[in-house]
Amino acid sequence: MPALFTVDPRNGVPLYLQLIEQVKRAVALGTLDAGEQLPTVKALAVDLTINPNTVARAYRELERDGIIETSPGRGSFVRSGGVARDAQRAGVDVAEGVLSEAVRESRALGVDAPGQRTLFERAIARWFASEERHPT
Amino acid sequence: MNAIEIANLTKTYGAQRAVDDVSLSVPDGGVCGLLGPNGAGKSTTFKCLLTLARPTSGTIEVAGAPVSPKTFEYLAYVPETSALFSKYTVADHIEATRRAYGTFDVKRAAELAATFKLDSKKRIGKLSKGQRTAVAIVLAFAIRPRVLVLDEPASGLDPMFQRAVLDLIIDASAGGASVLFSSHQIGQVERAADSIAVLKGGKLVLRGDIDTLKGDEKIVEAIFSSDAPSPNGLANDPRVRRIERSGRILRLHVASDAAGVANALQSLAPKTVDVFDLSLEDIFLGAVSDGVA
Amino acid sequence: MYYMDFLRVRRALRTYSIVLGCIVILIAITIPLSRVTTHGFTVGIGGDSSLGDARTGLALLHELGKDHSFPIDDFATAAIAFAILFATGLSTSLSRVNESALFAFVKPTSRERSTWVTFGIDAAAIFVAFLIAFVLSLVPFAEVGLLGRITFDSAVHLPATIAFGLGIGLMWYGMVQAATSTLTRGGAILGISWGVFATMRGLGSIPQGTIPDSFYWFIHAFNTINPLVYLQASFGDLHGHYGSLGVVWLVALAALAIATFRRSRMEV
Repeated sequence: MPALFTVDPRNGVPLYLQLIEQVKRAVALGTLDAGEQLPTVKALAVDLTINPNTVARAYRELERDGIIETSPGRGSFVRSGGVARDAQRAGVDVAEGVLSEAVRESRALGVDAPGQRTLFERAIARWFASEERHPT
Repeated sequence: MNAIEIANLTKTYGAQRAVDDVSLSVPDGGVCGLLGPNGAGKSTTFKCLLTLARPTSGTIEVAGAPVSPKTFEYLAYVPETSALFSKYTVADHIEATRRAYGTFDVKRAAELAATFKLDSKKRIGKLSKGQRTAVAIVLAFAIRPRVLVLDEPASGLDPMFQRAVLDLIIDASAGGASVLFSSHQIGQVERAADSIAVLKGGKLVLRGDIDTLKGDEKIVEAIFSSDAPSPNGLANDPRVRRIERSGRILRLHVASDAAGVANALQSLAPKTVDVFDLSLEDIFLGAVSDGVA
Repeated sequence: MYYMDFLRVRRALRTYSIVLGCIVILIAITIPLSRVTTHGFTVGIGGDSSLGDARTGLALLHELGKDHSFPIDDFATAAIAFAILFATGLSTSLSRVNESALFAFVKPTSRERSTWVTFGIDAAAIFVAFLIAFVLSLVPFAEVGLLGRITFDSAVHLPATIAFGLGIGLMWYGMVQAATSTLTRGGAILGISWGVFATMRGLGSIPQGTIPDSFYWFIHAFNTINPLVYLQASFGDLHGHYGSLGVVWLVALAALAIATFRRSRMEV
């Protein structure tokens, strides 16, 4: 699954965190199903051309967070038990990160809290309205 | 146990301290990128590690033991400059290396030679600088070493072959090998390595796990309504690496606890205070630049 | 990197054999082509039928040689001269490897051991060079039909002659190695060694009293390790020179030991 994850080593965000975010996003979006096997550490490291220990660290943290489970000799899998809740939580994690970045950027541009609230309401109105018009 | 353990290494040439009290280690299975400007002491550190130069003081161990000919049964080295025998062919070098190492993988050597498009019948003297580096890389990886020491392994190679070197390092690391390599290209280091050590003027100015450094090292930026005041209280703060002031902007490069530093800045009553992530390149440049800029 | 040493001496022996072979072929062709007048011993290539009793060099040399005997160790002595030349040609082998020290020294072999392997391979090649010259020296003799005149009475001295001759070669080889074992370009030192040894040998014939005593003794002290001085002795009668044979080998081994020690301490 070569195109499943992408990381940017030049980004200031630690690579293992980028990878964790990517996996959580894939689980939340359903790109990765419960029970689906993840690439091996080695395969993913070679695939992304990043250090294998970094991949292993991301997998360890994902396992600790209950997103994946690893059985020695078989590989790593997206956890099937309560995956919906995990997926949802993973999705919320990702969304929170994105929103907080947006708030920071907006504030840097000089938009204060009430102003941001207005903008935010407007964005919600636009996106949720469009979703109602084109149900997925 | 660490694959490579360098403790308090000093090497002087006359009055010049080429390497000055450097300690660094590569854990078993780790990949450490050694960074630093030219003349920072990277090659000298390698030479001391490989018994090509005698340390003035300090100790060096590989796999828990002092370096001896026995170490070189499983350690491969790619020097910065070509050191191959210019009068002999690529095939001669492959044969000589095969005879010297029990672990030499002939098939792998042929594959790697093909990857780098090397003509094995050519004499080393007839090859370009990059091709010579490629031969050294082929020989080093074909012995399937447990420890790799690579001094600028991608210098003189075109981008496609540089990528091949990167792939080889990652593949070796995935196979359990420990790697210490120097490079001028941060892009290679941030991909292949999990830790870095930065040398400057023979001294170690930064070492650590890349992801931890990225997590710790931040830029704290405060914008004021008039000219930025000088943050006197923070000038000698151990958390602060560097302070830049330009107009209404005060920018602090911090090594840890960005949130704490951001809080401290609030006392100067700025309009906004932001914390930014730093790329490895920013971190490197911050470490080798000279304090307050 | 024993294999590189092997390739190196193989190449050197090939060049050496070609040069020597060419000389022998040249001699072998020249002898029958030459016309010799018995009176004036004027030797010339190509037939000049105006000279009445001219004969081919082949016939003449056979005629001249048939009443003589040729001790086998004279051939050995001639071959030794070539082997010594060959030995000096190999004497910068360590310094040549030093150009590749970053590659050659990071190998699972101690520097001392690899140095002695280089010496061993070089010594074997010098011996082979001696054998090649020895065999080739017999070719012109066979051509003029004088092989039968070679005598073997002196064959008992042959091992000593060879040991002495090759010892001289190894002594020279060793001294150049000792001087160049930590350098990357030893060729100049080898060239200088020729000049120094030849000059000192020449100065050795100055009688005592004509130069300051300190000079005189320095020259003579130096000449105890001068291969060219011993070479002269080896061309003469070896009897009474067994002490010299010991000195030659002792100097050779000491020089190789110094070369090894310096190289083991060498920094790149």
